[in-house]
Amino acid sequence: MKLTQIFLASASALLITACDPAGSTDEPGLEAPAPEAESEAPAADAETAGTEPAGPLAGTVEATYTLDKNHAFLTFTVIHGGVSEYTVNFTDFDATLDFNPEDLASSSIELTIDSQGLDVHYPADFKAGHPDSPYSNWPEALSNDERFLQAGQFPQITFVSTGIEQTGETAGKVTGDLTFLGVTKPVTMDVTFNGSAAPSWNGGRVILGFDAATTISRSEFGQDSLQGVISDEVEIAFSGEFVQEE
Amino acid sequence: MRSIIAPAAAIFLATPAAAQSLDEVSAGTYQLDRNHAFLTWTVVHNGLSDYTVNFTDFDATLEFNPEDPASSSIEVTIDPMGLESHFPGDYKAGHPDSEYDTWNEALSRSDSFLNAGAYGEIRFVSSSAEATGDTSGTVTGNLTFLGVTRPVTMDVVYNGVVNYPWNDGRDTIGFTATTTISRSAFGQESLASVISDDVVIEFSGEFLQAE
Repeated sequence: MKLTQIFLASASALLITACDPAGSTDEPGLEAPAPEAESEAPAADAETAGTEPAGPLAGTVEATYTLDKNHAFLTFTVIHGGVSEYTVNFTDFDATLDFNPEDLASSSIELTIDSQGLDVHYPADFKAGHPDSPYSNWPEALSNDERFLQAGQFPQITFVSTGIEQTGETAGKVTGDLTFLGVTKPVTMDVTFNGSAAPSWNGGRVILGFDAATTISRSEFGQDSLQGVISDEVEIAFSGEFVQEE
Repeated sequence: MRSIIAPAAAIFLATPAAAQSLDEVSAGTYQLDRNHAFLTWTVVHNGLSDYTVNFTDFDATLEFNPEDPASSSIEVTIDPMGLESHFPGDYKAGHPDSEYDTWNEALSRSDSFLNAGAYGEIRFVSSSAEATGDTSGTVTGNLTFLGVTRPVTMDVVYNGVVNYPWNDGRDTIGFTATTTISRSAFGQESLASVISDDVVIEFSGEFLQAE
């Protein structure tokens, strides 16, 4: 699958970059975050594991974290016409993370999305091309039309985690209940922990960075519109930061 | 119970039918379908997250030769004033001394970023192409950014051809492309402690055969 290949290739490129902050935290004003490489943790420290998070999680603390909404991106992507990826940004969403680095499986997250908050690249004159549309622009149509997000009837999309499984040093799966178009179904996200920082300009509060992705079938949530033009699969992608609550 | 979750490797396994053979594609000039085209740049913020900005004002013309794809060529122009970045905060409240009204405008105009006042266009002009598989290849060209012109190679995938009934038989062809550039190689060294030097450029979109 060509589209799959490029998606994964670019995701890998981003991960490679993300895993190498390239000394980004050595500057004054940015407190050094936890060491990212386990090689920096002497073997002796392993024996004390259990009291302090070690390895990539060193420096993180058990706490409630809220989304840094200015450093958070959440998109959905479908295939259009079988030939291109069509990506829409959610612009109004929030999330709260209860993070426990010593027992990751006991962590939890809740995410709320306002269906009215969409941004999509549409440079043409929507009203000229859609003179009979009740909507004034394309994002508004995507939010409100019954073929798409039906925001009038279903103003919120929510995800509430139910289980977390660690699959690697910085990788895991977060399963939860996704409610979309009034239908609630279990969804599992692939999550990568990108690292932490505790910059002095933020009062030393810990910041956590994550990527997450999953693919859902829109028809399983009752959206059967425009089959043949828009893929049934919808890829959801997130990258963003969470800040420890004061 | 059937799981609705596809593993990452199976993303988009089922897509609408579109012919992926090059045999059925017309040679000629193709213009970007600007309403079905996405071009983004992504940096890593603070080593912690991917920060993605959409270009909103760009165009491209493709001379496509399906019988000899490597002889095809493309020219892309981007207006650096056209950016959309997710910034729900109150920009003016958070940046009372900024001369810009919005974060998008600051990204476009500030000399820390795209410096659009001095450099009103970003341009890519292909110089060569190479097929690496039936539907994949590399396109090398000259990228001009911040007044610096350097060779850049994009990895490109041809996604197929479709004939939308409202286009009178003209072919629509879809591509996905990506590359990674070093912003410092183009002279942008701002905020090196916070923003990665690597910038991932991604495109997916459709080109419509010219009439």
